[in-house]
Amino acid sequence: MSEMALTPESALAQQVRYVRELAAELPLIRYLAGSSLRVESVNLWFGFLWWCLDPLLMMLVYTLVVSVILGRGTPNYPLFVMSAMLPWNFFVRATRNSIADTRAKTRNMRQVAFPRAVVPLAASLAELVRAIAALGLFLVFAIPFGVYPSPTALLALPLLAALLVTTLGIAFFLSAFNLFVRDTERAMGHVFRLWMFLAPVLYSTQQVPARFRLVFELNPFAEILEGFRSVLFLHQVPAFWPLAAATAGGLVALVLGFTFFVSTERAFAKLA
Amino acid sequence: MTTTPAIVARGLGVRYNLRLTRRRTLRRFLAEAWRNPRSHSTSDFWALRDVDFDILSGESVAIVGRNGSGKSTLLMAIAGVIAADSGRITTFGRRATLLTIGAGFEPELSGRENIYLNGAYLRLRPRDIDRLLEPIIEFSELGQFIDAPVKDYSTGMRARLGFSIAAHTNPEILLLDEVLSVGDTAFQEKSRKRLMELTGQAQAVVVVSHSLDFIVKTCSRALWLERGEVLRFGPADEVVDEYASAAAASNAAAAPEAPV
Repeated sequence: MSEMALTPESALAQQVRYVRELAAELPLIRYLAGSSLRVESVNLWFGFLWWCLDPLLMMLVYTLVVSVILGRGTPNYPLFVMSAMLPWNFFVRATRNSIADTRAKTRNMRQVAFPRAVVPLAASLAELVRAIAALGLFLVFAIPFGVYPSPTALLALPLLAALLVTTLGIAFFLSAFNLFVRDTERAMGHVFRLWMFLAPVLYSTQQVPARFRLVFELNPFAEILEGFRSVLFLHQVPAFWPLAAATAGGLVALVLGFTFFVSTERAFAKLA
Repeated sequence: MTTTPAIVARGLGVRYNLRLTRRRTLRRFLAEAWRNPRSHSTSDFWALRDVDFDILSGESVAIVGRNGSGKSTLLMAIAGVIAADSGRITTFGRRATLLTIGAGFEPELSGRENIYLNGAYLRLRPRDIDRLLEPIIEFSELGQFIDAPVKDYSTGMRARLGFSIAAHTNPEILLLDEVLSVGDTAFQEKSRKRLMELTGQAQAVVVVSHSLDFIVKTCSRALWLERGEVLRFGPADEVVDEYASAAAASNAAAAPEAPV
């Protein structure tokens, strides 16, 4: 029975009801995530091997440029780069795919009534699976460099949670916003590139001159990426409070982004 | 036929905000603002206004009207895909399935995988779909092509697959937007029989079609929309007759001015 409520609900009650409906759509989210991973590999000779090839090739490129040509690398530079680049790639790919899928699935949205937040969630879940595989691969790949897995690697799980909430917040907002201003998707390619060079992916925050450091630390990803590097590569436990602050910031982003998405999604089918 | 209501509309209105939904560029936006700084008042367009009707379970209803009269918008409102901006629309049933040409398939996946994907959208569990798989494939007459990617299907093949899925997933309310007009005659006839079976099982069917012959053969009642408002709602043959003669009259009236 899908009878419309006659008494107006409070905004909070609406959100709670929406989240409950979303939880009931878990099978759909899982199926969409699985099929998007399948679609991606179905036309490729190497198929799922690209899960390993993508990060390895990217690491090779940056090691060549920074370590070999510029001679500015640090010891075990390939691992240094990859330990921060894998989580960064998760953010970029999850956000980009959320935006693209929300645009592409407007056709389904004109046919089936389902909570639209399913689409960015499925896109992010697919990337999460891929990111976890890549992080596992990283630990194996580090062994020939003489870097053995340490128990600190388990701390990557809470870091992944912090990364996920921040990513979802940004992805929800941009996915909805892009339907109104389609230039967003186009512009994000440049934003992501600039953002990566301003984040501690190719360098560490310590290498930034002290007078600029505060600006760099305002980047919500700075603490998280440095955190991944320290637990996966340096085997150090990162400081708790900066990360807690970054996680809190991520949660605020998630609430804001999700609220924007849910309050605009009624118009999605009309925008197609 | 039972007399339980399946779809009830009361004062239903759907509004499109053209400022949001019409694609504009910054250049055009500035040009318009320059020419007419106060043009905000005309940005609302009511695709449906003040629509009232009751559709009962076991009924099949056709919606007729000219292009742009709000037929597709009405189906989308019944499906719950777009919300009412005034009045309300109530559906009684677990879910309404809306089928349009070029239904929401994932082009890279095979027809078989798309059956599971569509099932997931309809909140069916994979093991329920396992059971429905054979009847769906058989009805669609796709044979070995069921394992080919949907991007290689013709429009007719897609429509056949879409209809087969919709007709076998036990929809309480089935909404068809022009889907049967693209299939061949044999498939159309088979689908028509299947629709009759569904209404026999007390399911409601609403069809948008330009084939008046199909409507008279299949539907018990017809709803005539004109500029978003209900002009007539009654027995299918009567409404279709009136609609056809009105269309002929307006063609005759337009003919001297536009001799083509």
